[in-house]
Amino acid sequence: MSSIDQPTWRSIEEKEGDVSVQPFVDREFQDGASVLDEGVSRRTFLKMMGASLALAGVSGCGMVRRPKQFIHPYAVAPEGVVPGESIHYATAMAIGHHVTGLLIESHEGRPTKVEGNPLHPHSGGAAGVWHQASVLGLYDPDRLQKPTFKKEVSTQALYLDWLSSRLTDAAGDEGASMLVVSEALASPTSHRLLAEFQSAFPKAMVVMADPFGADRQVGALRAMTGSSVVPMPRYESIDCLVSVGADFLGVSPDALRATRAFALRRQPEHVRGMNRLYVLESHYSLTGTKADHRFRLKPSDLERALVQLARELLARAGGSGLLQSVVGSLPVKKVLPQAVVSAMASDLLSPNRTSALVAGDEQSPFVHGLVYAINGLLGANGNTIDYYRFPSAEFATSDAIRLGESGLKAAVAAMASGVIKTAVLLGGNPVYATPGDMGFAQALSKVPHTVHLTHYHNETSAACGWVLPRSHYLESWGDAKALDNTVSIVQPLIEPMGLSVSDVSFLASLLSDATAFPSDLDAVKATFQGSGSAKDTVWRQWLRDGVVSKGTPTDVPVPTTFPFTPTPVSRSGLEVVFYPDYKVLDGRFSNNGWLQELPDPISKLTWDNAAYISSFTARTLGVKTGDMMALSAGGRHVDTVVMVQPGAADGCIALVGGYGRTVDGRVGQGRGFNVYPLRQTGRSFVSGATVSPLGRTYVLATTQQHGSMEERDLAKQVTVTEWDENPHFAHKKHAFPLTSSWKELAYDEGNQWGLAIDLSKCTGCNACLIACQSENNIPIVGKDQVANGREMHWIRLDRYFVGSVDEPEVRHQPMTCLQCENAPCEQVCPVSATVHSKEGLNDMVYNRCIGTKYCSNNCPVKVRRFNFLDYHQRNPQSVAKRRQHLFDYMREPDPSVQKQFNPEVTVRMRGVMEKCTYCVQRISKGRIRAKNESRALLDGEIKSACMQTCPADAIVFGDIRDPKSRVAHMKSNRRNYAILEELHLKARTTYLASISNPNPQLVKES
Amino acid sequence: MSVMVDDPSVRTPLVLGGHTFASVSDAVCAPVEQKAPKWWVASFAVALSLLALLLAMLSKLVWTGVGVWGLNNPVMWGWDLVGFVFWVGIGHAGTLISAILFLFRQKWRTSINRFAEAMTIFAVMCAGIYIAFHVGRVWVAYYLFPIPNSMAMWVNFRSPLMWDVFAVSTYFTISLLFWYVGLIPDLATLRDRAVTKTRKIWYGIFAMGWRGANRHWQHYERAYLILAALSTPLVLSVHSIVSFDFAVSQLPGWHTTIFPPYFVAGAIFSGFAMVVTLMIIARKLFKLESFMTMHHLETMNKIILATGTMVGYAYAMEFFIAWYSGNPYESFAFVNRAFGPYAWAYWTMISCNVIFPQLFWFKKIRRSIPAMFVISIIVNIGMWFERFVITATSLHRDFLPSSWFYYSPTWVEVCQFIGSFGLFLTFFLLFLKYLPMIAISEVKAIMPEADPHHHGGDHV
Amino acid sequence: MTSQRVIGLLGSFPSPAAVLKAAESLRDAGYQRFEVYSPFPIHGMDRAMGIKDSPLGWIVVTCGLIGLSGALLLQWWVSVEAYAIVTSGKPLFSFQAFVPICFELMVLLSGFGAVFGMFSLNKLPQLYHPLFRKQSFLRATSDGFFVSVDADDPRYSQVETADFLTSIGSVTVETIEE
Repeated sequence: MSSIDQPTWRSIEEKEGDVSVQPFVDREFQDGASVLDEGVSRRTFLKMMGASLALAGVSGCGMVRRPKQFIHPYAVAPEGVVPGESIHYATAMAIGHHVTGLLIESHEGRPTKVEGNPLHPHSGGAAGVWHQASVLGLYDPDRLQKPTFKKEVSTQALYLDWLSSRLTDAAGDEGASMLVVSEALASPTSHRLLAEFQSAFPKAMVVMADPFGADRQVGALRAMTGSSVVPMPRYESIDCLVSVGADFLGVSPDALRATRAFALRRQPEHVRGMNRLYVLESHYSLTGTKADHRFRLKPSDLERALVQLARELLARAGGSGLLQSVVGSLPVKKVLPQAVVSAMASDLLSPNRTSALVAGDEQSPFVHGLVYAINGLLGANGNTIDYYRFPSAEFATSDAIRLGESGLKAAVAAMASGVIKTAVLLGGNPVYATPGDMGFAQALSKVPHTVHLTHYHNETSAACGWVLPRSHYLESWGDAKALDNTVSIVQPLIEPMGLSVSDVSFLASLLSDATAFPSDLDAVKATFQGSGSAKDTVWRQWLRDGVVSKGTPTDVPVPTTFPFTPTPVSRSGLEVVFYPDYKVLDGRFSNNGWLQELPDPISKLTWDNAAYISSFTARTLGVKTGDMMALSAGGRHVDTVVMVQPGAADGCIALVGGYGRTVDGRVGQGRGFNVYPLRQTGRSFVSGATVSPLGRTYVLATTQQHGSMEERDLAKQVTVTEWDENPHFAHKKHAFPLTSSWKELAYDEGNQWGLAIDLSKCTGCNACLIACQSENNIPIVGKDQVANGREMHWIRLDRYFVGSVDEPEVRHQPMTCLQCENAPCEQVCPVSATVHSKEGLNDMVYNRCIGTKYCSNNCPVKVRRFNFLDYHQRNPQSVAKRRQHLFDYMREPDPSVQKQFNPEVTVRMRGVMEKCTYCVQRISKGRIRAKNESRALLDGEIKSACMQTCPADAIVFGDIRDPKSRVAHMKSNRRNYAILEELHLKARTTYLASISNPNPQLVKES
Repeated sequence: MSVMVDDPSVRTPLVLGGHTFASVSDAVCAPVEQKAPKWWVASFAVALSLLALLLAMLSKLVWTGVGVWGLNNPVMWGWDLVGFVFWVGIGHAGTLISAILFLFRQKWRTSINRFAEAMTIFAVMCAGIYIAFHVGRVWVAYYLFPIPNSMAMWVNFRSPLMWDVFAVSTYFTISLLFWYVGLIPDLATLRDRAVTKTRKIWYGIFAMGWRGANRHWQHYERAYLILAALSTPLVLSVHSIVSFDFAVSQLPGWHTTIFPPYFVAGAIFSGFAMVVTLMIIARKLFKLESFMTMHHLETMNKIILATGTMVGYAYAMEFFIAWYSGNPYESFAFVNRAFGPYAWAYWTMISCNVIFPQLFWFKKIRRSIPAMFVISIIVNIGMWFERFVITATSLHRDFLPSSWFYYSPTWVEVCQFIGSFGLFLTFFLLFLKYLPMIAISEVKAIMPEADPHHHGGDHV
Repeated sequence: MTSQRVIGLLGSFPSPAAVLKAAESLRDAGYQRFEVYSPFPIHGMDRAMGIKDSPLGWIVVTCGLIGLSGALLLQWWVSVEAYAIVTSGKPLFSFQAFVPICFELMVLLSGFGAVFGMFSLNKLPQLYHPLFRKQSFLRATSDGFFVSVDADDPRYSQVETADFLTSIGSVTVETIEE
């Protein structure tokens, strides 16, 4: 049929409403067709016909068939929603006891990105890897969708029937047969409900614990002082800091606040000068990488060293009663050279400087107690370390409510004894993540009636009768109280994706006999009765700010007793320390692809955990990286893989939790090795461990294979004294003048974008990497592809070891596209798929790229990423796609995962080169906004994703032409240098050299 | 070119065995006119199956993506570019023999140039396959040509790859024309000898009605001379431009001014080795020893020796300059070549390209068929490794140690390379079967009888 | 066959020397429209026949210049006019980078000029020619040497020319019919 009569022919039939033509329309013009259904105005109809004509032309001349899609118009538009414009909502995310205020970017009701809430004291505008990756968890197709009973899909109504029958039973014995085990909850409403449950069933047992967390520290302080308090160091005001196995910059969920404050004092320009950090630790932690002096000690020596330091301090400062009595009685063993200890002591005690000690969550009560006492001696308590009431402890007034490992132990005993008839498990995964000697699984199997509220089907839910889907924090109402007692409302961004129940509703249902789950919103509002939540304006204010109230420190509790002794250790064998994983924490994030593929900040290991040992230990054990070994202690053993870690303590093995999941989603299941069986209840570490190599090897996929800088001046660092002597050390003299043989472009008009990264502040925490991944729709590639060096991360954190294999320093260097003005990649592209913009950006033109890969070969810093195999389709969660034509790709990301994609960024196909764009979509968005408001762009108005989330505030993006801009100010700093400057790239990304602040006395020593 | 002459006073006869004009035609046309021998059928079957392998690999590549190869982040070019340069290199002997030796009036070339030109064309076809399919989205590879398009986008003439596109396609076209023009008189010969109608028609069509008129010969010879004059700089330019792919980038180990001459020498080196390999087989199978004489082979071996030594000199120079430049990245790149993870490749290259050809200093080896056969093959292995060393070894460790990585090929890459020989052999066997592998008219022209003054015929 | 118009005579000669000599004689006898056929080019034949030099060189030069200037024009227009985009901070008209393609296109078009110029000068392809009907002429591409004299040559005469050919050593003389 000719294209002339086609439209007439069609429109007549249409007007007569001949249905036989409808299929044609459907095929040719989806959206119009769906418009048609709700009667058409003349104008829409004509518009539609025009379009369908055009489309008819297209499909006439080829095999192009559009996939079937429908428009879902807003019947009632939500307030403030402008299609295509994203909106940010404030909420908060709790990880254990730690709460972070967040802003969630939402596109047409789809949360797409998690950012920090500047108003929230813990976030301060930053968000960590777990917070940012949580949005992927929201859309995870592996999340539970329906309630199940004994593996059979069931309904909430049936569950509630079951529950009421259990509650009536429990009412008989005042709840003596009732047990509630919950993961650590920071929600006041949950606390209130648990307390109410407790009073309703006085004999019931309520336990709240996480595999790792603040419980041990709080417990220690309570034992000493009688009050449950948690220390919050004010890092920005501490001049001299000693970390006793504390990874406060790294794996602690408190790291955001700590990093921001700590990084302030890492810049030599700071009015109060640089701070100094001593780190005593067993494995290389992120905090260790920022240390000015790092001492690697196996855990038992760590305690001894602390005693050693305490003695020295007492000797110098004259002792306070308690500390004197404690330390005086202890045997002394010199694990640190006397010179070191005295230097540290004099440093800590030096007048008009503030100093403090921090103890790691995982340390023994003895260490926590000693550190608390020493801080008292140093005058840090209440001065540079504030103490806040431990939020979770506020409701744990009755003894029946137990926190931490001791609580779990009691629960296991109760279950094993058989008195428990009903066990209610809220979140967590105790069957998997409890110490092996506790025997939680066996005890649980003795309980006839069990229910588990969980995000995923995991080891624990596999052992439970009822399994209820748990609502994601982005789909449920709640509240959260941070350790510094800042209270926030958790507001949902989206309707629950499945038949899930929020924590609050779940707990409320334990108190009501309702036939439906109580509303979580009402429960939350009820908690805030009297504090004005009734007033709508107040409520809205809270929701908008994401902060209800800030907390105030309590008085420093006075230590009365010191009921701890050093951890007893067996002389023979190795010592084993455990710490949560930088990627999947205690295992709760193990089904999150972004986090699985996140390189461990020290080992750069992805998709796995490993047993980290020093090269000396490796030699003595006769193993090397990649060897499998059986590690046994206390009668239990785990098989795991060796990874030699420069700087790990000798005679010590560091094991990482969170892996070896046997029941998990498609992403997390079967990755790495489960180390929890080796943990021992009430022990911060395990001693007397023995190793037997298994003779097998295991492939470890790391994103960086070569750790040495090869004497190349890449990530520059000098000591503060060296810097004073030679302030211009960062600028090296070049053998040849850096000039081009042609007239160079001036780039002297409009905005000229640039980036500056302060290596002195950067802790290598990876937050920027996940920010970039979620902002730019970057696919994960899977373990095998990482092992072949094909990871797609646009920003790379280079980690270099400097110095000896046993005592190396670590340098972090985030590597974005340098956006070189003389970009080597551009001139070699035959098709002009990468070219320069007037604003100095090195643009990638995806739909022009044919994938010669020449640009990457010519990129001196290798930041270009090539999509070798269409990784979005190869994602373990991808689904078969409805095939449109022969050469169509056969798979696509799961529809629910697609909802996370940032609509402002192209989803790249295979065979195309991609790379960091300085978040060009944000740049144009800002430019358009400014244009609409007919004003110039303000400095800081446009933030690249990495800059926005950097907790250390180390990354600054902006207009380098504007002399008043922050980035221009940073680039004028004497520490500013361009990497590989001798190639005359004229890079727009420059670095501020890192400055370290070692103790002059100790520098003289070495 | 005195290397061609053993003793200036006595010239070695170029055609042996007392041939007449007619017997030359008979001898050369025999393989074309007789029915295919068993060995031909057998090897053609092998060639076809290898070709099938190539097609299978290419389909897998296009269907699944470049990821089926072992390439990774630092090493974005591997066996694909190695194969490309390898085949282009081989392609150089043909044009060189036809054009440059023609200009130098090296009459001995006549009995081997046809052969070598054919080899050139098929080798360049293999190279073309590689350059076309190494891209990530081969279905838009036509972006490489400056074609007006709806995106209103144009190509980037600053890119060496763009130069490659023009150089390789020009080289292929000119070589093809050169080859065809040389073929026309011989096609006419075949046409006139044809006994079946189909042969007469087909050879007739391609002979274009050639009838040896002198006015034709006049323009023909002029055209041939001009083509030779054009091909000579062309053949040098093509491999120089191929070397620009590396030399123009700023990667340590690539960014080297010595590359163009060194690549050309290497190309001639590998090309001549390939010609020797094929000639030894062909002259035996087709009993053409009287045309492809030991003198020819020895002369070729001398050239292999010469170019091999040049290549060796280039290797030495690279190292010296890397050290002398005082550029840490540069010197590291070369030390890493010789002693890094890819040292095995480097030393294979050195021994194959520099050490073994030196044996050709000995006349005995130069004139021993088995010896030269083995050495010529060794040389081609070595030259493949040279390209591998240059491509992979420079890439896998560049400026930032953080991005260093090791590259090893997958079975797909290996099979594709093996398959590319299928493409080459298929066409080459067809050539041997259906076209005269020796330039009949040229050979006749260099026979003593061809000289009108041979019988001292006097004329004004 | 006899009915057909005679368009010339064809004499065959035993050797290159003979046919060269014959050509000289014909030239000296004032014949212009005659042609010599040989399986390979015979040295000195052009002079012997007295034909002027081939103009092919000029055709090639012209084509080469077109290729050269065309390439330069294309690259300038694309890089400066049609798609003026900054690349590696280099000037839009970076002529140094344009040299290789200029050279390649010059060679390409010169090559076309040489080959297709030669074809047109030789009026090839010409799949039919009266000589092809002559059985003896088949040897022209193997070891035969021939001279043909066109009937429309001013000096041509059926009988005398035939005798003349015999006198200058032609082994056989045949007439060429249309």
